[in-house]
Amino acid sequence: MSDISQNYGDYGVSEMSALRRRQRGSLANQMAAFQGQKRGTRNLATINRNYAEGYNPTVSAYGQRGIGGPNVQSGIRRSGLTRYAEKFQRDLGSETQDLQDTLNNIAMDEASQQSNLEDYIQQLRLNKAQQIMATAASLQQYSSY
Amino acid sequence: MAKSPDTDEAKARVKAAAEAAKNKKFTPADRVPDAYVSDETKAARKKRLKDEADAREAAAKTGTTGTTGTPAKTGQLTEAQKYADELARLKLQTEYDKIDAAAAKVITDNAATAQEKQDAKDERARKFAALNKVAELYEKQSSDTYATDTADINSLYGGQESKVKSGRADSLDSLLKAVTASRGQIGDAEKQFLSSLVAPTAYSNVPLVDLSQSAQPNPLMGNLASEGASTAPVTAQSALDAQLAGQYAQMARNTATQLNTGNQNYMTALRNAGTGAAAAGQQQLATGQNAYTNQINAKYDDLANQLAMQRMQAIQQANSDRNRSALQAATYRADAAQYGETPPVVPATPALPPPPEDNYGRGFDDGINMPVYPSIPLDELNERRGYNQPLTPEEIARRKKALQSAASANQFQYE
Repeated sequence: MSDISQNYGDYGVSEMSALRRRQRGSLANQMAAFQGQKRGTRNLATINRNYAEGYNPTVSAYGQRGIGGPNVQSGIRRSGLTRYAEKFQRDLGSETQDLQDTLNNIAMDEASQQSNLEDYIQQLRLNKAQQIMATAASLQQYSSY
Repeated sequence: MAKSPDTDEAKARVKAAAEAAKNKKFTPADRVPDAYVSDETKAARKKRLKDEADAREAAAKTGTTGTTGTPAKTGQLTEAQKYADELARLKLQTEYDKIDAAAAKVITDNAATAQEKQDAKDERARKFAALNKVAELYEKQSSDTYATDTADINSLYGGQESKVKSGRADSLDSLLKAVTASRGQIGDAEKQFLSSLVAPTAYSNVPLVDLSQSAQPNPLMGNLASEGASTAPVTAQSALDAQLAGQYAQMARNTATQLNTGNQNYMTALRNAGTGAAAAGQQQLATGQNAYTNQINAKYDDLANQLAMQRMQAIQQANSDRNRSALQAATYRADAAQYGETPPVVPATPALPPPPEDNYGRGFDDGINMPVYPSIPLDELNERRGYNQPLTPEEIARRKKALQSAASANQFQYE
């Protein structure tokens, strides 16, 4: 690698290439975060809707089986409704956790990529400085003596 | 018996030759040893004297007188006397002929000797001149060749030595400039790198989500109460979910905090690496400067030594050539000395330096040279200093001796 390419050429190209890759990665992360958030929100809405819509049929099913009604509150029916609500809550919590993990993973990926970019650029600059110093210190033109 | 005309003529020739030889004016160059008398001539003279003595004795015995054999009484020559006379005449003639030949030879020899001496003298002169001429040529060759060689040597090696000196200075100056520039580059690179370091913020403000406090309210709680069913399990489930969500959110925050700390440490490591690299570069530069300075000096020392050695060899060669020519000249001088006297070589008297210039006696007072002394006429001053005094013979002899001593000590030799 010549002095010119060391100072002005290859290092600059490598840095710019890394920056462009980083920009594309950041856009992808932003899109992934947006999509993850959108998907998680939709899933939560679906869960809410499904359990809300399924509550009355569940209560009716206990009445049809003769273990529940407007004036009848059996232990089986109460227990069943509790489990239904608990499952509803567990699904909500699981989906919420999935959404949090998705967003946090995307954020850590974004930070990691930024860190890698900064490391790479600093490493390039260190190599560049070392090459310049080594070339200057070598006094190659006097090696014939 | 009458003398033979031939005999008389021979005697006359001998006498004339003797007179001519006697009257010849010899020059000192013609000076030769005493006249040469051959052994044959001496023997012939001795034999002739003996024959004359024998003839006189025989005449006394036979009563005849002289060598002619004339009868003393009868006047008639006997046959024996005739033969004796004829024999005596022939002997005498032979002797005269020998003497004549010897005299002629002496004359010829004398003339030849004079010519030979003149030739030898001329030859000696020619040899003397020729050998001196050759010696002069060798002497001139000795001085001229040495002067040319030394001039060439000075021109050739002087330039190279100057180049070696300037090359060493240029190389050291270039090295110093390069080291100075490299120090600046290393310092600039260090500053630029340190200024480019930015405190890491990737994990310092991560937008983490904590949904523990925003749990969805269960819309069936009112219905459960109206039905007489228990709401405790639902509440417990809601509380558990909230606790788990809070726990997970806290874990994520802790992770971000730790990663942020790691990034800070990594930044410190980068800063140390940059500073350390700069220090190492400066150290390497200092070491390289010393090493290359030594190498440059060693290289140019080697070049200078080689040039000095080559120059010394060239000077030795020039001295050898000069000495060889001088030896040849001396040899020819010595050879020439066999044929004549070589005039002594008197070294040229060097011109005396001009007297110091002054303005004494010129009537000019610039206030510096002669501020207080009165002006003195120049002739009087020169007389006081002895400039106008002729040199005495003792002074001339002393100066010649000093010059000859200087010449013999080779102090006037061109270097």
